[in-house]
Amino acid sequence: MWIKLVGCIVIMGSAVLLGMYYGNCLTRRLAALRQLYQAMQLLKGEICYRHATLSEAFTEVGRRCGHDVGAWMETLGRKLMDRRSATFMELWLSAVETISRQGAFSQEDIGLLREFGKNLGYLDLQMQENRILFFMEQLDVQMKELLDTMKERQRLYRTLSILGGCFLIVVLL
Amino acid sequence: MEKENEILCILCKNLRKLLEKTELAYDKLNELRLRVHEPLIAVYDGREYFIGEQGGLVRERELAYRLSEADIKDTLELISNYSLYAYEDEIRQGFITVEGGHRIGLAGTVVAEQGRIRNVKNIYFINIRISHQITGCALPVLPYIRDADRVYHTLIISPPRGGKTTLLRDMIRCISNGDGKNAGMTVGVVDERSELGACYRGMPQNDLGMRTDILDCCPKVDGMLMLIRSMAPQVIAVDEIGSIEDIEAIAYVIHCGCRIFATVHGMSIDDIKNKPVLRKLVEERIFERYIVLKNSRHAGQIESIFDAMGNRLYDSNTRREAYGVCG
Repeated sequence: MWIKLVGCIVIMGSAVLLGMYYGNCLTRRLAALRQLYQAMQLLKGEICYRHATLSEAFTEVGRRCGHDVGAWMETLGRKLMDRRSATFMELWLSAVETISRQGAFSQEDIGLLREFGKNLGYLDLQMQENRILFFMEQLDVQMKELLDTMKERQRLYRTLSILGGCFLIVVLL
Repeated sequence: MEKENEILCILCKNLRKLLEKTELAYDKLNELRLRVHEPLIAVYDGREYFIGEQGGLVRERELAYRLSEADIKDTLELISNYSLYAYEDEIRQGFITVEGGHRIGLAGTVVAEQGRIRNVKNIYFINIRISHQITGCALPVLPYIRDADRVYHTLIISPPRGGKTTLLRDMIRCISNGDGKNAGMTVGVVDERSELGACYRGMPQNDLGMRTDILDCCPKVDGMLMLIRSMAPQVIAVDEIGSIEDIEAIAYVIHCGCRIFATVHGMSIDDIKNKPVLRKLVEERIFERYIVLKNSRHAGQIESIFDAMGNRLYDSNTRREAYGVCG
């Protein structure tokens, strides 16, 4: 009897934690999107007003931001500075892969990031500014969509996890 | 090794591999010429070679590595540090200066707007000129351009690729640092084309002396006035003067009590006199010393030195050759 009781508590605890984990994923994603948006604002300033190269701009923005996205940018900036005969796209895609593994961004966000790098550094300053502004708009849309649905989805995750836990207990008993 | 790294890091993978396979003393490498669908050419120790498909310097055109469109594009990406937009002004002028002071000449399709160059697109011709500062090459001319209490206004006259910039650079360094007999002087350099200081991110890659202030990528006329107002130089140095505005700015500099070092394209003083704009310089005796270079055998031979009156102070035919500089 005691064993069954302990088992039920463990299952319910795990289910609640799982629900909280998925809820927190949304919070982390929102925080990451906000960090990326802030970094893009700084990047635009570095490129458009200081005429910094991408390596200088990414390193400086990364240093100023300090958060996870900032650290990622600083690493990318240093890789660009090294110029190990790789093209920008190669370095960019590898950097996007790295941040994708951190798990804060959704696949949709990662897709936008990949796309953003395609024309970066190419053509003139106006093009860079337009590219960054367009990406910031996309990030804004992502954040708004997330904010609109976040609370409902967090509640849904919690409820589903508890129901799932109850269901598993019933099945096992 | 440092120079080798500076060159290799601006070349795409293919070219980098080829050059790594080629045994080169980078101090002797003068130029690398990249043209789309054409052989890769290296000017090495003053001679032209092809870089072979398997690396190495070759003389036969058939064995040469031919550059693809991607080679040029990828190399351009690396030259501009993945940021072509950041070099718009430089590209408009036709060159980019990279780390180490090496000068990358670019050619392609010019986009003009109302008669002015707006940009250069389809860049498929790249000339990498390797920077070689020759420290000490100005030592033989120093006794002629300064004495115990003053430095003379000096004009270096030289044909293209005659070594005038190299000589001017070392004159700046020597005057700025001074020596046991002569105190160093504050020198202001207006480096319109980044050739003298070869600044990369604002930091000079060439040694221009400890008392030298550099205005990089600045138009000569504005730069000379800015330096006088802001940095109080004793000597101002500018490269390749030629326009009427340059001459007026030089007159202003001299009136302010500064000494001036300048260079100009030409073969001789008479050649300068034949140019309407520059004639005034000679006739009004603005400059007190003229150093004439020739590059008949090798770049940088000092042919003669004249004073303001046209008296020859040095002649390479009657005295030993002063020094050899190149570039």
